[in-house]
Amino acid sequence: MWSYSLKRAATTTVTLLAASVIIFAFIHIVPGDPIYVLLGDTATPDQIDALRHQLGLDQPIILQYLTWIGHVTEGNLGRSIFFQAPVLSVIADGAETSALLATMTMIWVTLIGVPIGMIAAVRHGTWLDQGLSGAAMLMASIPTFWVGLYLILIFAAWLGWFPSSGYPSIFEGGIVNLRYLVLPSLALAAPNAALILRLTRASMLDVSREDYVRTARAKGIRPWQVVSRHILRNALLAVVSAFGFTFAALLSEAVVTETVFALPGIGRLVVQSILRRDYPVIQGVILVIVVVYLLINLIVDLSYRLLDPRVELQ
Amino acid sequence: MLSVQDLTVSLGPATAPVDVVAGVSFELAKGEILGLVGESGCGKSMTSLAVMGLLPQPGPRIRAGRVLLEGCDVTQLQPWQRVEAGHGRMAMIFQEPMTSLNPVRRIGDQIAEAVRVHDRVSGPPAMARARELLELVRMPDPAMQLSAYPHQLSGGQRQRIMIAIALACRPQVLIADEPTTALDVTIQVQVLGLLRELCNRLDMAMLFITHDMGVIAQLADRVSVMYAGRIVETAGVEALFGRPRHHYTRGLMDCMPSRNSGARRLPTIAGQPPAPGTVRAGCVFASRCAAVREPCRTAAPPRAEVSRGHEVLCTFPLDDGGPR
Repeated sequence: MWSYSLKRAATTTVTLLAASVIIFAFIHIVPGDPIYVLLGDTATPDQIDALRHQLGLDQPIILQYLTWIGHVTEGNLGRSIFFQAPVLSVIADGAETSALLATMTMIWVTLIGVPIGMIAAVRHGTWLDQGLSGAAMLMASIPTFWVGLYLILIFAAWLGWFPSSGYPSIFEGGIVNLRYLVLPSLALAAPNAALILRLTRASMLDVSREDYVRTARAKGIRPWQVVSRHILRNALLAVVSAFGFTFAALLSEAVVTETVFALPGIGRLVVQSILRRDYPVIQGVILVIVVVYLLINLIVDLSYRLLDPRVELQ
Repeated sequence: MLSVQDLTVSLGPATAPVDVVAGVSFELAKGEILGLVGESGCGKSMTSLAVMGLLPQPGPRIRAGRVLLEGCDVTQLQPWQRVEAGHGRMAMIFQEPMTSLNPVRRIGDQIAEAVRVHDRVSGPPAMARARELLELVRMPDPAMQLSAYPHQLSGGQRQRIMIAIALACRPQVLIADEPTTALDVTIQVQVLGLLRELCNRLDMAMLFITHDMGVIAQLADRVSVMYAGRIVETAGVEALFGRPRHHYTRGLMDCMPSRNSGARRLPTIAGQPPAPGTVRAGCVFASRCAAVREPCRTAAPPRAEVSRGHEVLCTFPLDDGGPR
């Protein structure tokens, strides 16, 4: 277990380092210049040079990278060019919204995807299965922003059950402010729940053809016990690993959703920072996302050990 | 004990059924071992699954015939329904011990699960019974094995676990579908010995399915030979091996290597078994039979008792199978 953790830590570090190089390189390849964004069109060449020097953007790119990565290892992600504030605090402002949005979305995905997938598998071949699978296919094919717009139209504009945009912190307005996240998390959950639903169904159908399921039936236990004790746990092995991928998809889809619902989250922060050429913020946010993604996958791998005794952590 | 009458298992739509098992009948007396032999695809596994109530859904179905366990009709009942109806004392072991146990659950759980259903006990008594069953199948170190996972055991050990699970229902009838085919020869001998001993000790009848004539000769009391979904010959093991009356059985015997067959090439039965549903009239073996005559191609052969307890499905059975 310990040697496994050490190995994982080492590979994670290498992955992070590689990611940091790619993040840094790609941002500086994108055309545009933060100086013009900050100073506008009327700036004199002297002002431009002075600011460029002040921000360290006149140095060779390798040196800029080394300076940045050096600061990162000290826990300092730099200062935002636009906000004139530490990148960490800028990210922290958006983190609450994004973390809550991601959590709520994953709860929807689990609550909708797994049980309905189970029902479709158990009722395999019936009209119910056809209907549920068809609905899932539809949900997976519709873009998130479109689902978001219709949710706003129906549940915010017509019925008035939920607010349509924005998110005041729960630390200021209390837990009821979570209602601001209901529609965005549902929009975000729709395609991912559909994916998990289809995967749960397919995986359960696969497992139900296994020899050991026949053994279980031969014992004379009831059909629902065959499902709950023998099919479900083995089928969920495949589904658990999909949660890692789902989370990755969630991160990119959150950018769109946060824009549609005007949520002050990390996704929208990235979009705006790219438009402003706010290099330190973009780098910082993407680095944080990479770290979170690696952590989620580590948790997924460790949970495998709990679900499947055949897996040895090495 | 177990009586199977005219069992017919079909595939395809109800309007155009294709019979993969056609009118199979046999009786199994208390403590008796009946061997069911035949080539791959002749319908012997399908027969055993149908008798056990384990036909895969959706898929083949029992179109006609009856399965009686101690006189009670259990034909269309799945195992759990049989348990509820009080006729749960039939169990089955399968060909693939490597895949027949749930990989993520402990051996003890998997045996105790069957114990709970049939003995209506749970907790420590169920686990104690599981341990007893492991001792019954001669599992070394049974207390330890209860907490093991299937992947930690060998194929032979896993088959013993399967037998232990089967014995949990205190079966009157055990169906063994090629239980030793996937095992090494030495392990095969051990498992066969164990099954024989358990039948004697527990007064349990066994339907033993195999394609291995050698195994049958050692183990069975009586033998049924199956071809293209039909039982073509049934006899006591000595009568069948000593004096086969069906041309197919005779052909199978001739294919077996014997001590004095030396280096010469073994004979084979020419041709292939017919695909299910392709023989519309006459005998299913007609196309491969060396002694085929004109009526064989048009009239279905009668089932005749040629001597006491020796039935054959042939219009012109061998008069004298002759000593080999």
